[in-house]
This record gives sequence, C-alpha cells and structure tokens, in this order.
Amino acid sequence: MNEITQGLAVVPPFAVQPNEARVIVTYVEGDTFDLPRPVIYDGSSEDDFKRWAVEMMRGGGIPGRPADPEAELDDYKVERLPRSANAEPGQRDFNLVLIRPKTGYGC
Amino acid sequence: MTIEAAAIISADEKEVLCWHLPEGRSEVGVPDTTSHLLDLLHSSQCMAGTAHSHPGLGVPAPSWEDITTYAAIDKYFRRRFKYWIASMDRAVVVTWCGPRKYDYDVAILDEGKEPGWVTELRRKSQGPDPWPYSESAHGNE
Repeated sequence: MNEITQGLAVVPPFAVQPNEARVIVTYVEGDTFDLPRPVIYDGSSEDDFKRWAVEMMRGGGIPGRPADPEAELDDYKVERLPRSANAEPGQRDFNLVLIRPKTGYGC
Repeated sequence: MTIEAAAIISADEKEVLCWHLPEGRSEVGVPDTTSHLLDLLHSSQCMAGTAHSHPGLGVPAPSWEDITTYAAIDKYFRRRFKYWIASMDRAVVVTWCGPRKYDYDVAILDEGKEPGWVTELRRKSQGPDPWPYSESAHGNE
C-alpha cells in the first residue's frame, strides 16, 4: 500500500473538490479506467498524475483490474481539463485529467 | 516552406485512410491531438500504420518524439504497425525490431518504389505558398 492506494478497499462514488481532479486513464485498447478517488489537481505536475496512476496500476489499486507490475505510462500524454467555475447543471463542474497514448510527431 | 503532415495508411499500404493535418502543425512537428488517437481507433482494424513528413531533402530519420509516439501506439493497440517518414525526396519505413520498446529499425525505400500516396503527403506538406489548398473532408483536417 502507498499514499494513493491506502484506504481504497471500498470504492464509493466520490465527490471532487475544487482543488482535486478526476483522473481517467486510456491505457490499452479496451482498457480505460478511472482512478478510484480524486487526486490533488492544483500544483500537481503531469509526472505526478502519471506516477500516481502507475502506482495504483502496479499495486492493484484499480477496482476490477488485477495488479500489473509492468504497468508504465512513459509514452502517455496528460491532458488537464480545468473545471468551469460557472458550470451549468449537467455540465462538468470538476477538474478532469486524461492520460492517453501520445500522438505527436516531430523532427 | 514545408510543414509536417501525417496520415493513416491502409492495410494494403496503397491508400491513405485519413489525413491528419491539425491546426498548429509546423516545419518541426505535428502536434499531439486526441483526434488523431480517435482516428487511429476508428482505423485500427484496417490500417498498416501511419506516415508523416519531415521537411527538407535526404533520408529522414525518426525523432525521439516519433519513436515514443510509435511505442505508445503499438502499446495501446497491442500490435506492431509500420511508420513511414517522407522527406521531400526520400522515404523510409520504421518498424519495431526489439527487444526493447524503443528498438525501431529504419529501412530506406528505393527511389521509385515509394507508395503512391507519398506524393500527396509531400504536397500536403507544402505551406500555403506556393500551393494553396483547403481541406475539409475528414474530421481534424
């Protein structure tokens, strides 16, 4: 167990505070999952989000997903989608972090 | 001026399934976009891989940005694809050779034996001058 996976044996639906984010990982085809609790958004780096996700993947902290000691997100992109302070009902009112395979090309 | 362009190539390697000409592409790269991942998802069962252009002349080589994108795509789809790179006069195809995840081999295509779509890839890699063009056919163009 580590700072992220501690206390995650039961996973209730969670509320996301303004300084937190929901994290969705698009890992491999057919394997997209939420981190089971929000993470700190403000002040966190892209490497932080990836590190927390990898720790949970390796440690078996993702509900319904076996521990994967080989999990890594080295070539994955982190997209930060901040919450809208004036979200209407039905609109996303929380910070969202998407981690997905990178797709850029460059010379 | 040349600006990089990219495309998804059909399984028979003869056609472009989808051009990828996002806003922000330049002479040094094609930016990372979610739309390209979605296009790859839609094409994954019928594609051989992707292609993109490098500005200038001579035999192109994959950049680290390219290699890490290839590794990400291969990992995501659990398949090994082919990745073409075309300069304005030469082209190569890059494939994983292993054993490590960033071990990719570069094979130079013989002049005159390039796939037909390479010509169009080069044309789309021209800046607005001297060949103005307007694209609207596919998603993120």
